[in-house]
Amino acid sequence: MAKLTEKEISHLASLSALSLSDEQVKKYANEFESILNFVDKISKTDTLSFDMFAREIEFDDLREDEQKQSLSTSEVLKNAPKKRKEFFNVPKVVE
Amino acid sequence: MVSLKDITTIKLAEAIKSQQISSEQAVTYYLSNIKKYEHKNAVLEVFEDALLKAKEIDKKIKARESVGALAGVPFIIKDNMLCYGKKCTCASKFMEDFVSPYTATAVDRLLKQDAIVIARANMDEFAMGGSCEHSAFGACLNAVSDSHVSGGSSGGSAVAVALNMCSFALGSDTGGSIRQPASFNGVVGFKPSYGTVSRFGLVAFASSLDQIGPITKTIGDAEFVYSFLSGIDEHDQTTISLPISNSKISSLKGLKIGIIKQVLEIAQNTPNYSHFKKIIDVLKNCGANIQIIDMKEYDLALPAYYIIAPSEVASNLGRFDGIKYTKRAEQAKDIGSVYTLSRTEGFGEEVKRRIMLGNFCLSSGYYDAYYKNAKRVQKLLKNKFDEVFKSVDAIILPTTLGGAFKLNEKTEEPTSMWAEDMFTIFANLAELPAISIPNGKTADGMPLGVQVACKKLDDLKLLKIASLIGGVLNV
Repeated sequence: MAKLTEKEISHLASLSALSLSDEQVKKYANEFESILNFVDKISKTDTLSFDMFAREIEFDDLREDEQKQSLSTSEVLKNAPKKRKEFFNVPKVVE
Repeated sequence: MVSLKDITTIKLAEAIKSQQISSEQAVTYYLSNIKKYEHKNAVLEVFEDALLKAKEIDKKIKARESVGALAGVPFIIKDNMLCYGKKCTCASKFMEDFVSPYTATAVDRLLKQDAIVIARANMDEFAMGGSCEHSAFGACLNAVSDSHVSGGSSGGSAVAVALNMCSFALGSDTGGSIRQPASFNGVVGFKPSYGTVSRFGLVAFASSLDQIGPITKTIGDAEFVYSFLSGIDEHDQTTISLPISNSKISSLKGLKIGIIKQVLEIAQNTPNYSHFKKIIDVLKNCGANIQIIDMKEYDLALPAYYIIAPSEVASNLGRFDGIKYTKRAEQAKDIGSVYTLSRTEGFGEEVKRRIMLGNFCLSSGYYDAYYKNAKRVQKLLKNKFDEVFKSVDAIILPTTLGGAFKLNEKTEEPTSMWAEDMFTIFANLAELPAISIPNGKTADGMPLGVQVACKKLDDLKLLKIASLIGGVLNV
């Protein structure tokens, strides 16, 4: 265990929407061996008696669901690399 | 005439308000130091309107109009905090041209007190790193040495305070990113309890761990700035208000201070252990009651962090898709390549590494063993610290393993850089307040820090204890 094959690295990259050169795949495969050794203690710790989502902050003080002013469309679009009228512009996604 | 060199924020605010010095003079002084130390690369951009704002405040003060508590006081923000109409890049190519559509609450609270934001500071890309070498715009150099790192990720903010480019700066701390660079550059860095400072307008790294805090010259200044930063914010549902302090601590005598045995064992093997030991001796001489705490789970903090933080990164950075935030790969032809090529071009190495690690920890087959277990370890550590603070007022530990390391010393082996967070991560996982204060220098002159932490929401008690310790250390 604690080692990923180059194929697994390529799969992780595609899950992450990243494209890696063959050289990078090799480099990350090497690195992940030491990275997984670094974090591996966790996978071997028995902690089943603990609730993973327990948090000290209480969320019972919920606000009313009311309409409030937010950023305008033009402000939201200001940082878009491509836009048309009041829309984000993307390549065609349906045939 | 008041001297601006090394002036504290409290004194500067008084001096400006009482017209012993003008805000314009202060801004001019700090801008001249930014220019003087340009080669350190601590600042990514100076805000052109700073002098104009200073003149406006000066006019108001002269006319005896009412002004805020920080009237005319210049400050610098880490480049992951939004300020309306100004660029915010997170030191990433991805956000190179991003212009903030609104202002972060923490920044806004200072602006409402009439403080003046004069620049944005360099950092590790998206706050991932401990050396500021992962900035897409070049490393920030240490305040006292051009061949050493500034630390990170808030390296620029710490160097800016150390070299008088401002009297205080804002940083953010997810695993030590305020405290470690503060230690490396000989200044004070305070990470407040999780939830006491709004994260609204702070570009998310690991949302359950991120916390904004001040980097200052003194502990008094940390408390002063924090008094404006903290408070409930309707835009960040995790914000909580600080209980009113009922701590009656006035001296170190009888104060119960804990040292974690497992920390001590690591620290004893570091070259600068004598500095830490000296403090313990001083505290003992002052009548503090030093207790050794056995916490065998301490060693799990670092691996737990390097599962939880990357997992949150993988999700938080999913928003960078080449559609919403300024950068899209030129050659992208279809929607898939818009995502993949834009992200491949936009993100740096360390960010990609952590996104992939996060996606690994969250992927089916590994989720239970890694992410779920790490979250449970986090809860276990929280419970342990709750226990600890039943028997001690505070814990004390070194901030770092040693002084700042050399440039490029730890960039080849990612986990060697990650291990640098050994003494800081516990506070983020357990949501505790922790502060790093200067504590002497290594044999080759690099600053060192010592860290104090208290129970969650005991921030004011922590600042009081830190100031008592600082008093005997002359901080």
